[in-house]
Amino acid sequence: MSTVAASPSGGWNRFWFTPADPSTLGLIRILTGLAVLFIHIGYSFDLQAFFGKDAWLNLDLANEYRRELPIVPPPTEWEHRLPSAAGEDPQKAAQVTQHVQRWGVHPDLAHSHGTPSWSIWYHVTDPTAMAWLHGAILVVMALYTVGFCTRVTSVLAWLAAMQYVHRGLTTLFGMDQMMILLLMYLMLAPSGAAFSVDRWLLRRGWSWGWLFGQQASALPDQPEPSVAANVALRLMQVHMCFIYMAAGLSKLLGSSWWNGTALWWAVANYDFTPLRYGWYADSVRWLSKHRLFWELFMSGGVVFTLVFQISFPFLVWNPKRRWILVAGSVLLHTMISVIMGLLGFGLCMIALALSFVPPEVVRDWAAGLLEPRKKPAVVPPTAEPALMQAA
Amino acid sequence: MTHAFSPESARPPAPSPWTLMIPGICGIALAALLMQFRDTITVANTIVRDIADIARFVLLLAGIAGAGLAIVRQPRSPFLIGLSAIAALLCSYAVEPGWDAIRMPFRVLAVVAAMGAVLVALPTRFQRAALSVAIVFHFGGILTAITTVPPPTGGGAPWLPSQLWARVYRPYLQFMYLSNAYHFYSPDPGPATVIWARIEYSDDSYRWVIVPNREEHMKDPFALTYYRRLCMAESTNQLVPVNAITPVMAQQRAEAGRRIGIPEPLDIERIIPTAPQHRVPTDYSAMMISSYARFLFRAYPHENPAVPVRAVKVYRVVHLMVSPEQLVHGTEPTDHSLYLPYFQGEFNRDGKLTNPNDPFLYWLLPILRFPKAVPTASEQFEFINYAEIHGNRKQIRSSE
Repeated sequence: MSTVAASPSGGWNRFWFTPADPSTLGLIRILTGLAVLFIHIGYSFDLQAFFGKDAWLNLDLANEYRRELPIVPPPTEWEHRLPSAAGEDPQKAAQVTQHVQRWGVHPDLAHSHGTPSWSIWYHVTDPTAMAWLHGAILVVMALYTVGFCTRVTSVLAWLAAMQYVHRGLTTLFGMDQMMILLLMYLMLAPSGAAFSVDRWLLRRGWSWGWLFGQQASALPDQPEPSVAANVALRLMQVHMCFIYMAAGLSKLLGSSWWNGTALWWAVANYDFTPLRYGWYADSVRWLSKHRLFWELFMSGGVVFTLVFQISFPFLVWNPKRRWILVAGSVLLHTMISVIMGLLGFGLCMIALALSFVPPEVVRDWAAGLLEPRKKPAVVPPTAEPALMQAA
Repeated sequence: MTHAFSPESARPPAPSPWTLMIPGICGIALAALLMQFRDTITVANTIVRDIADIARFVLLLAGIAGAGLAIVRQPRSPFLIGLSAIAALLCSYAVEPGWDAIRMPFRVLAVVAAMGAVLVALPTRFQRAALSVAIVFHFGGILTAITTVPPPTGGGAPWLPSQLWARVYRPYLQFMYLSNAYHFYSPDPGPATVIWARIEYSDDSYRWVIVPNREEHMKDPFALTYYRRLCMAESTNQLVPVNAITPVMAQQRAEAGRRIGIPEPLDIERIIPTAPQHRVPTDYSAMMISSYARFLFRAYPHENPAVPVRAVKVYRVVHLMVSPEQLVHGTEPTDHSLYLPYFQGEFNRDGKLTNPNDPFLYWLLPILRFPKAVPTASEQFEFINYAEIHGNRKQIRSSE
């Protein structure tokens, strides 16, 4: 801390550019990969309905939208300058009228037109070709999840996921944003350096190690720390703070977050929650019949959400309190997953929260998982002489 | 702890990055040349053109693989990264001009690679400075996206972030799909929106379609097929804030309602005072509704292929959430009166409104609960679904 205080640039450099163990990234990659894989398997049922020529958002409209949508910034002065008169030119007047009818704004007010959307699905619309391409993408994502040729598949997985989000504009929600930012940050770092097939193969002398961007000749027991790993982890951490801060502060504008009823409107939303199932409906009904419990549960949930989200960016940097915040994040998103049914979103947020878990803790978890504590071999007394003889 | 790998010297040597990059860039250049002469080839012979297209595709893929693997092989070489920028630029010329959504990312990649080449060539100190600037720019964009949301109480979005968004950050954030404001469940968690559509066939038969509904649309373990449709339905729910109902509009709506037995807006307002009677979608939502109608037109054909779809009527339905008091007093979350259908128009095959002057357009056509004339122990109320009554009516024009 004293160094930070003495030299802000030194603190900045240490924060962003200290080499870090990529073990945490390996764990995040697995979780992200699983989420990405399941999210895109979901598209298999709707490839034509969401991305085909005659999709819900049809290709013609999607193309028109990405090429012609006027972008109108607020005026640089106190009011918008008046659009130039069409004058005597009837052709221009007709164009202006058409533009106003289509987009609801005078073309002269637009700073630019179109959105930088890019997707192969704007051009590949043959159902068979789409199915083959989608199948290939799923294979890439599976390889990424297990960490095979991760340097290559991490970039391909990000590229592939972008094709879907840029075409399926109206079908997206928070989960897709989280997935993309995780893929983006993981792509910047050696996320396949730990807990991956790459590493497993390298340790067994696979001769194509150069494909992974790793030097097989120098493989220590632990993955080699790298600046890229630290930058990726820091980007995730800072981004998560922005997310929680925005989510928490924007809630303060809502009356239901002030009067403590917001949680009810989340848990009693029939279209999202499992309210159709007896166990859940009975729990909600029971709670409603007991006003005190209802108020305690709802107000408690609201206070927890607000305090947690707003305080997270400030408290999480303290190593002593960090585990509480990470556990709180896992709890919050597990609850959201169960109650709101947003499993993919929950998985992505938990993956993001894991960026705060130190690599040595991750390695301990992995060691516990992969190498369970060995029970001492119990040798029956009667077998001992035979063993001795065999020896 | 020992590793099972053999010494590096015992392995076949890794290929030189140049042996990957040079053929790769040549392949891409050849593909770009084939693209430039495609029109000439087409004139000569379409079979030759098809063969040239396949060759172009193979060359392009192989070239990208070669250039990409060269970078993986030696990621810190400014020369290789510089060449990869040229390769990316050539790639943009190797795809058809109409494929603008593919050309653009190649060109962006070329710029990024060129900047990367310079960055790699810099001393560590300057590399860090450049990366620091990039990090600040990146999170400046995230902050801009967060703060450009207008507050619900009005007054518009803050000026500075809005200018930065429109003039600086929008291309970057939208290209990278990082434009979310993260205002989850705020300012308040709201009700879900669903779509009801009445598909009408030329033999006067019809069917109602609800989007989404769990039985039909929940197909995968994450239920994403369902939730994505829920998001899609929500895209019809962007509404024009100021919604003046002119006397002429009100009169036309009242007269049309009288003809088919739908109460006047004022009568409906007395029963459900909190629900707005008339909500006009924004241009964006109107476009989406039109596209969805077009989809429904094709997705739900008649069982008899000889009977075409005649029209699709679309209703944006707000599914209000049951309050704890209502739940305690026996109202179910699916109580019919909790659904507020707003008529969005009748559409033809191309997703065009068949009657833009429909007197019911964008009006609430509710489901109202009335006491039963002869109540029973189990059923004391009956519901009248005015959306259904409206759907069953023949076309009413404002001039009628």
